[in-house]
Amino acid sequence: MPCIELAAVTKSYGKERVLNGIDLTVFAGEIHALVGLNGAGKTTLMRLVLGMTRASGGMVRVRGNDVGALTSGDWLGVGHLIEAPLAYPELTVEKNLRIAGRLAGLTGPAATSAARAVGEELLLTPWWGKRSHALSLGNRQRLGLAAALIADPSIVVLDEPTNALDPAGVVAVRTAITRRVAQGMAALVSSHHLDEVARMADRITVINAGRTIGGLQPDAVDIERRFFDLVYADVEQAR
Amino acid sequence: MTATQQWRAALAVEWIKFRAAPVSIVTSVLLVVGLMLISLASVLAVGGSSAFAAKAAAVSTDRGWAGLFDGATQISSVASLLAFGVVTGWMFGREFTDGTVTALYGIPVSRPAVAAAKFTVVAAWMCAMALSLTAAVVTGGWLLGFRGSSGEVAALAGKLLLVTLLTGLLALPCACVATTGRGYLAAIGAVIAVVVLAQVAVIVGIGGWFPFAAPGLWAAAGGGVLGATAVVQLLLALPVAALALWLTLRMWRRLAA
Repeated sequence: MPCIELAAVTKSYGKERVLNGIDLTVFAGEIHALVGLNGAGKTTLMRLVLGMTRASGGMVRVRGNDVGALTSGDWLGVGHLIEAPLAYPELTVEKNLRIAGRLAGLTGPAATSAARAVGEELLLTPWWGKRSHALSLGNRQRLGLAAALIADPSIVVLDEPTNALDPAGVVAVRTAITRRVAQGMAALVSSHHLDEVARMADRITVINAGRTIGGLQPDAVDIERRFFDLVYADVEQAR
Repeated sequence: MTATQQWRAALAVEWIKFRAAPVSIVTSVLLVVGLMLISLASVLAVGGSSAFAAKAAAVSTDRGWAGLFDGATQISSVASLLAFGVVTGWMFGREFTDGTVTALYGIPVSRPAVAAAKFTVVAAWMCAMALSLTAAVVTGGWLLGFRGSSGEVAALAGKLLLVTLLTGLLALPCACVATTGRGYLAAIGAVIAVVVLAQVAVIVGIGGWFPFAAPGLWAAAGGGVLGATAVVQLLLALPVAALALWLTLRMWRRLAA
């Protein structure tokens, strides 16, 4: 059974259709990457998976259950980072992570120790006592990723996880994700960085104008050219 | 997680955020210290001939405990409403303004549990503020050497405490406004508008039945015994608060990111 499943999903805002007939699955122990141009519908798709908005049509399932019918308890073991990282500006890195741990269902002591562990894993220790408003964009992004991973989720949904990261940060994030995926976590990840996606993903789906227009082999040669071939062919077809 | 466990987790989170936030610290200090200083200045100006004394005579007419508490209670009916409204609006609107509201989805702590925790923290803070500013005014009067029976001081202090708590209940609709307006600025605008409307309601003579003006009218009425109508008017704060609680929890249950 897929951990995440979308079948014939559509989403409209008023008369504007932003997703159209999306089919997608994410299984345990794999990274399924979404790639597409800005405005292709990647973030909207992820928001649907997390119950932040409702689909206009089709079915969105998490662990086999309709996402609209999930109770708060059903979200235990799901981590995510969509748009702004969970980083309250007046709180230190440590307190932000403790908060994330409590919201992910950990007890107080478990949240404290998990915060320390994931903070070290994502290279946040030097900024441990610093308020998040004083962090660089990249450090704040790693804080958001640490918050998403703090409770060792079995499913994770990450929108542009390597945004604003330096090379060391990219490696740390990639390692943190792939290590958990090797232990059975399912990951749905969007990205603009095709090279990064090629290193990390097991499957790549290309989205354009709200539709899935094909897939890419992560180990294929010249993945960037193949991506643009798919997108341009779709644009031409739509004319 | 049970509903209680969710609420306790959310309460721990909200408390960490609240106690570190500049807005809660600054508002607390300004409300308690500011109200005490203005009340003391008003009572000390009684009988003076300055322009301030003329203005202060509107709230403090007696250079003693009664004058001190009359001023403090009338000022609190407005200042506490503003302070409580700003903090309540900030509590419920900050995730929208900061863009972190997405983090409250897809987690095992429900959004109504988060909202209930926010109400708990705000209510506890309002009670602490009411007690603190009452204690500050009593201390101020004691330092000025005012004499009077402990029964008289207790009655005056009790009225200040009650008026401040009633304004706390009346500030709770700011949670709805912040949620609907998806940010705290809407709530801050609303509480300022309510203070203005309360003044208008008093001027046109319907202030008693306008819940947001009723505590201020009672504060300005002096030490007379409350009539049954005035009690009913003051108790209108209860349905206002209950409606705000119900609506906010309902909105947070159905909230779209």
